[in-house]
Amino acid sequence: MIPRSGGDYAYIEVAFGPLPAFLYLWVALLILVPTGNAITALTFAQYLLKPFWPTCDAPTEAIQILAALITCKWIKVTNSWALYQSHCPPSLQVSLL
Amino acid sequence: MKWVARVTDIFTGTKILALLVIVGAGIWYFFGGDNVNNLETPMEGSYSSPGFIALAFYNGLFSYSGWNYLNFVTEELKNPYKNLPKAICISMPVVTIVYVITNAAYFTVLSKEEILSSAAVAVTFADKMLGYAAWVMPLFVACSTFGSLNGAIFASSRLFFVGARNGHLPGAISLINVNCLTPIPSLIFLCIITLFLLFTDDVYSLINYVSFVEILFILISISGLLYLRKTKPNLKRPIKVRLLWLMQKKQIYVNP
Repeated sequence: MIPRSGGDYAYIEVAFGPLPAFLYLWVALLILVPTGNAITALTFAQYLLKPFWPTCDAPTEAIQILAALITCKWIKVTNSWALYQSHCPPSLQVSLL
Repeated sequence: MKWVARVTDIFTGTKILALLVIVGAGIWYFFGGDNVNNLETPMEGSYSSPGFIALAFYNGLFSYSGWNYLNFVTEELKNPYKNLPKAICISMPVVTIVYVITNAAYFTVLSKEEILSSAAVAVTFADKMLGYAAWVMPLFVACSTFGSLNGAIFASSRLFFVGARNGHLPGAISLINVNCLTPIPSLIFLCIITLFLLFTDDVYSLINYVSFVEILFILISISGLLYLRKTKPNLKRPIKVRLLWLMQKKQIYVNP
């Protein structure tokens, strides 16, 4: 077992060395995480808007705009949350990164 | 960590509750009369070419993505040698059973055409089954997506933290806000890429896009494990499967 954080990144580095791990990290940064967030945001918007258009699908533009808003809002939410957390002892803060 | 865990607990509870409501309504519908028409020819009209089967795997596996997130925070677990395998052994069967029976409930109540034409299957299901209480389903789904976003950001921030520790990320992305201790630059960077991806509203093309890449790297991880098993067979492992059981057996028969 590899007792290190990082999931696939840690496993790939131990098995195949730093270059494949580096590639995985950048693929995660450019594709995996943003696409996952985009899918989540679109699903969120689609389900929340659906009741307002009961007989047809919600318009594409409305879904995209709500998804974009929730994506941008997320930074603010995590930030204010962390500000609230910063009154806690430092060890807790570091683990909250 | 404590707050993320608490938020995840609450939203996971909400999600399971919503899925159990769907399953309960499905069971009620199933036993409430001769309502099994949709289950008579379940595979009718399916495509069977290899490309479509591969796409089906991508879409099916996407709903389980997140199964490996605990591995991203190994350093913060108490006694990971015991708790990590335990968590996987409990969560994987439970999640698999709940998802499968939920889909069975969808296919019992809704016809194939209704499922295909609906952009939000859970809402269509709720409109048909829950009547006046149908409004709870969008709220449940919103909570569920919020919870999964929470978990995804929690896990991915650890990934970038470990990568930055190794010097694999440029300094600007791995910076952390002094006052709030949040990785603001990497969050803004991710936000910008996510906004570009939102130019499409086709969730399925995004799922195929991300699943292909994700499964490719999971394949590399798995082959890494097999490779380590061969090159370093005596490492301490909490779970050790007898990979070559069949081959060994054959050898026993061949050798004498």
